[in-house]
Amino acid sequence: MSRKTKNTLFKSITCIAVITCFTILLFLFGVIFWNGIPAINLEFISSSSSNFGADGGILYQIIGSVLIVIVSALLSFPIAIGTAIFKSEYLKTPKWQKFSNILIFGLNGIPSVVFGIFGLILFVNILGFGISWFVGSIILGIMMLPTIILTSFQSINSIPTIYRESSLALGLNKWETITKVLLPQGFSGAITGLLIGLARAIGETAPIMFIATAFSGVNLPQGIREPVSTLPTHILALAQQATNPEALQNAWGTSLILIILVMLFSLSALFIRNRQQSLSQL
Amino acid sequence: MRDTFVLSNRIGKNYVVLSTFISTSIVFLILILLMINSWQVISLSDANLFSSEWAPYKNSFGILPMLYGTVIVTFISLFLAIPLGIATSIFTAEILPEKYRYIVKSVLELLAGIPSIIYGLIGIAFFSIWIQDFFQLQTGRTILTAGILLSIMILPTIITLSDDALRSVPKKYREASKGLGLYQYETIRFNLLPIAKSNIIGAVLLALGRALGETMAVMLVIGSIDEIASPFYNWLTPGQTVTSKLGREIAETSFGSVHFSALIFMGFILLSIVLVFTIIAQHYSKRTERLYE
Amino acid sequence: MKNNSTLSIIHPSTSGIADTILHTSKLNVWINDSHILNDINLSIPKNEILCIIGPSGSGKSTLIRSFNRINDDVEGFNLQGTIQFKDGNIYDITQDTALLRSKIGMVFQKPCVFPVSIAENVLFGVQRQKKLSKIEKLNIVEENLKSVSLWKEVSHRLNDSATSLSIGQQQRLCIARTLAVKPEIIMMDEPTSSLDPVSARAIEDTILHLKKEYTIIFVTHNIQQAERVADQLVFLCDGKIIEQGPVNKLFKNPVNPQTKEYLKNEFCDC
Repeated sequence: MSRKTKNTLFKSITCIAVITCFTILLFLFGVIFWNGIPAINLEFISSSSSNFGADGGILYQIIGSVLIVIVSALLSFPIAIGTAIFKSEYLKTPKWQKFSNILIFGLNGIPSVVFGIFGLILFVNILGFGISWFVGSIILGIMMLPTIILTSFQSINSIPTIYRESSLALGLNKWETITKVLLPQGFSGAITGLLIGLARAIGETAPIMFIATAFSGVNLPQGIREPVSTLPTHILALAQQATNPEALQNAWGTSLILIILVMLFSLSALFIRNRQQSLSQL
Repeated sequence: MRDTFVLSNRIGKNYVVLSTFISTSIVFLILILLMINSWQVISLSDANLFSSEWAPYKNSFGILPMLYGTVIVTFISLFLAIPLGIATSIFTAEILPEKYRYIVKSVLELLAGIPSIIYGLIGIAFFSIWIQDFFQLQTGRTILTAGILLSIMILPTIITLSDDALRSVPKKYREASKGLGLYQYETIRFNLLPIAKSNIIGAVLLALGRALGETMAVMLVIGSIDEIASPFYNWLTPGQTVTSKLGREIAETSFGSVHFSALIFMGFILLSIVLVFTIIAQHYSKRTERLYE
Repeated sequence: MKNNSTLSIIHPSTSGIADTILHTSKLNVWINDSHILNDINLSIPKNEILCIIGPSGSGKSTLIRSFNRINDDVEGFNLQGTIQFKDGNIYDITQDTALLRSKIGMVFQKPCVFPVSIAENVLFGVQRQKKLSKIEKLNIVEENLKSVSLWKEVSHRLNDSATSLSIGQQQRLCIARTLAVKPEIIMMDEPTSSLDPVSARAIEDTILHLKKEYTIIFVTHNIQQAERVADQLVFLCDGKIIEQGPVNKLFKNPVNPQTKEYLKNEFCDC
């Protein structure tokens, strides 16, 4: 085979690969929208579920998901920013940077079901919280940490040293430099990370399915030590009734709503990242 | 003035140190808790841990079928996703015109954001039915189905990170190589890929870690039978992975029982393997720090 | 008074009337909306050293990069006119660009050695053209490293990484690598501007030796270098050819006052 033929063949193969991926992508999104849209109407979104989910709507699942995820963000964000600041401003040697990277990426790589088990052992049993939506928020918050830490770190760390030096020269101490000079600039990066973390957290099932949620009979949690229903666990329960076409249809509807929420967070993150990039090019 | 100067500095420092301590100690905390809870089943001498018979009523907790399932499902997913992913990344990095890059990259990020439970739903509703019909099986919930589904799930990771790896090779190498009369295929194969190799390996290892840890999608389509396939290459039968086992049974198992301990032990092994691969991946992909693929 | 840039004068070199190996006609190049090259008509004689000089931004690099079509991948690149190489138009649809580049080789300003061994660098381009036996490979490595006066310095460590060489040695390695492909024309884009004077001189000597077998086109903004090395000179300013001809004529008797000004004071107000 001549060199030229090999080249053309190679290019064709990569082209086929791209088309394959594109087809898969179209299929996935297509299927979700095609099956989900018929299942959705105003009633679906605004009423509670009944008959193990085969009838009724997903109002409380939506509320539950949003609740658990917002609280997890509130718990996670301060800790993540603090860690990012420490990593950027207080850790000086490459060795420490590498070490902290290992720990952070390690945390990121932990399987989601292991997080669930961790929550089960520590919070539900040892600390005696029982099945609690708040524990779910804690666990999801822990899962979000690496994402927020790394984006915030990149954002703060990339601020040129001259800003720090000018601030210190004006008489601000280190902490004031951080809060008044660095954080405002790095904030959009942190928010981007937060939104991405939210997008992931809202779709998680395994970490919360046995520590924070219950399938039926739950509307709004009355207190901290109560379970909640969420969109992903609802899909799980419906998927296990896949032979029932009504349940299946509701599963698609719930999936579509979930995807829309995930996309909302992801697109916001993209949007903010873009704005930040075009701002910094001015 | 002087006091607040020192005080706010100290408060701030305490805050960041505490935050970092929390973030970094969680991994160890999890490992320790899992280790402690595994002890019960390890110390039970006739638990048959490394056999292939999982029968709690008999006090036999052979974890081999689950380990087998994890290994095979991961293998299938990598086998499919690596060539497809790298070939696609070559296209996006080297052949795709610059103006389309932004859209393609954004689409890939969106694709990576699909929750795994939805993959599971699609797996039940489509893939398992297709496999069932195509191979004329009793059930479409097989090891193969799980592998195929998983390969689609790790594809965006491989594509995005390999694309980053190739783009990080400076432009001058391409020009020098082309200037010598090499075709684009030869430039990519003999010049760019070797240079990007370690970052691409890092990408693959990261995808490997995700494949090992995936729970929901696998749980729904693998069939949940605690048996090693026979013959061992017959992947058209139902099986079980560590994650699917955990997902299905941990809620039903009473805390503190031997059964529970056996499940935790499997989780501990899985976690250790995943952490090792994550650390190795870090070593390989030193430059790219994408986390949210 | 502007020079008539459509004139393409070939003066016979001292060795007789030279053949033209490359010929451009009404060449215009735009990158995005900038008109980089304006109506270039150039004939490049075979087996001579043609030097393109001019101030920064005059389009010298763009010109030679258009010859081996390495500008094809640059976003917004647009070319009109023809460039004839031997019997064909370089920008013909059927032109195999990889083949073209094996005939028109290029050495870049910043040496770009590949992160492999010295020997593998030399062989990198030529290895693709045909299957080589071990002996052939050794011969090619030795022959081309000798051509650039690098053999003595590295013959005992051919398997070391090329990145361990000094910058001057790396640039010579890049030239050796290009030579191994046996092109007909070798183009060099400011080959010595990243180097110290000693390495620069070594490369100038190499270029003078190469003239026998190859046609050399090189770009420089170092006027003294042009005077030392070139046979033919082309003075490019703001994308137009101000004057071209044998080096002696341009230095002693330039037609265009701008040429005289540039060669004397390195200043051009075009």
